Amino acid sequence: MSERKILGGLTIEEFDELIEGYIEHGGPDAVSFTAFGEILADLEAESVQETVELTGVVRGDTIVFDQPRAPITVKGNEIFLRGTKLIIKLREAQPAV
Amino acid sequence: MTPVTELSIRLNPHLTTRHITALRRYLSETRPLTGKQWRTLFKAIDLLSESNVWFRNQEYTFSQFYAEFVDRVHASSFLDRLYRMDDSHTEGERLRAAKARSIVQWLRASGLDAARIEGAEFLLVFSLYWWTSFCRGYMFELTVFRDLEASGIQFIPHDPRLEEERYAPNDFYLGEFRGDVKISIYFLEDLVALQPTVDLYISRLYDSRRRRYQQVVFMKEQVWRHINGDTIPGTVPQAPGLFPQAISFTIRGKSWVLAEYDVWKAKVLQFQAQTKGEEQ
Repeated sequence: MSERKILGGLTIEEFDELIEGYIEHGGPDAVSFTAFGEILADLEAESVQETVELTGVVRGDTIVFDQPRAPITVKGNEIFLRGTKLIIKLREAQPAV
Repeated sequence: MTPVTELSIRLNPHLTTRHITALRRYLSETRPLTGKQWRTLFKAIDLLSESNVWFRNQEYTFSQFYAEFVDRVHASSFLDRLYRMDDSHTEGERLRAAKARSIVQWLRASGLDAARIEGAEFLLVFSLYWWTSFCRGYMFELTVFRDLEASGIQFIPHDPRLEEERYAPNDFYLGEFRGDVKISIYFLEDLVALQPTVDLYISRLYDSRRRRYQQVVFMKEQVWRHINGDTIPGTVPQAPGLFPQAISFTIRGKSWVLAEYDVWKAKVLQFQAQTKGEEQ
C-alpha cells in the first residue's frame, strides 16, 4: 500500500516538518510596494462593472456617435450616462512650438 | 452535510491545485510574495473558509470552527499577555509560536489529524494562517499605539482586550478621523470600495530594493490636507523612490495620499501643537 500524500503530494512527515518550520518563522508577512501596487491595480480593474464600447464618425468639426447599448444613450456628440451629459468637442490641433 | 464518520471534512469543490500550491508556498516561503501569489493565497483561504468540518456531532464551516475552537480559546489570553509585554514584537513572536504549537497539538488530540482524517491538513493550515494573521496584526498595532503615545500624539486607540472594542469598525480616532492599523493587505478591499469606511491606514510595506520594511500611512486626501501636507503625483510602487515627499494617487476617482509614517507623524504633531496653541 502506498503512503498517503497530503496537501498536493507531501508525506505526513514532510507535512509535519513544513508546519513546524512555518510555526517557527510565521510565513511571509511582508508585502512589497510593488506587490501592493499590483493588487491595487487588479482590484481596481475588477471593480469596473461594465465596459461599453462607443464608436462614431467625425463629420466636419464634430463627432457623431453610433447608438450604444444601455446604460448609455447618445445624441450626436452628446453622451448621457446616469444623470451626466458629456459633450465631446473637437478642436484644431495647435502647431508644435 | 451527511456525516460519514464522527469526524469528517468536506473541502470547497472550487479549491484547485493552483490554490493548494499557493498554500504550500505560503507555509514554506519567508521571502515576500508577489502580488499574484498573495491574491491566489487569499482566494485559497476564502475557499477554505467555506469548507466544512463535522466535529462533535455538529457541522461547522472552517471559519466557524476557527472562531469557536481557536479564537475563543486563545485570542483573549494572547492579547492580555501581549499588552503586558515590554517588547511586544520579540516576546509576542514567542507567544504566537507557543500557542500555534498548542493549537496543532489540540487538533491532533481531538482526532483532526492529517494522518487519519482526509482533508484535516487544510483545517490545520487554515487555523494557523488566521492565528498568525491575528497575532502579527495585534503585535504591529500595539507597537504603533505605543509609538504614537511616546511621540505625544493625541489619539484615541481601541482596546482589543475588550470584546466590543476588538470588533469596533476602526482601531483608533485621530480627531474626527477614523484610523486603522493594518499589517495584512485585506484593507485594500476597503481602499477600492466606493465608500471606504476608514479615513487613514497605518501599515508597513517592504522596500525590495533597500531590503527593509517601511512604515507608511495611506489616507484620504482630506486627512492630509487637514494637516497642511503637500503631495506629488505618483504610484505606490514608485513611493520608496519619491519619499520623503508624500505621493497622491487616485483609486476609483477618489484621491488618496501615501506618506512615510515618520513624516506623517511630524505633521500631525505640528498640527496638534498649533491647534492647542490657538485654543489657549
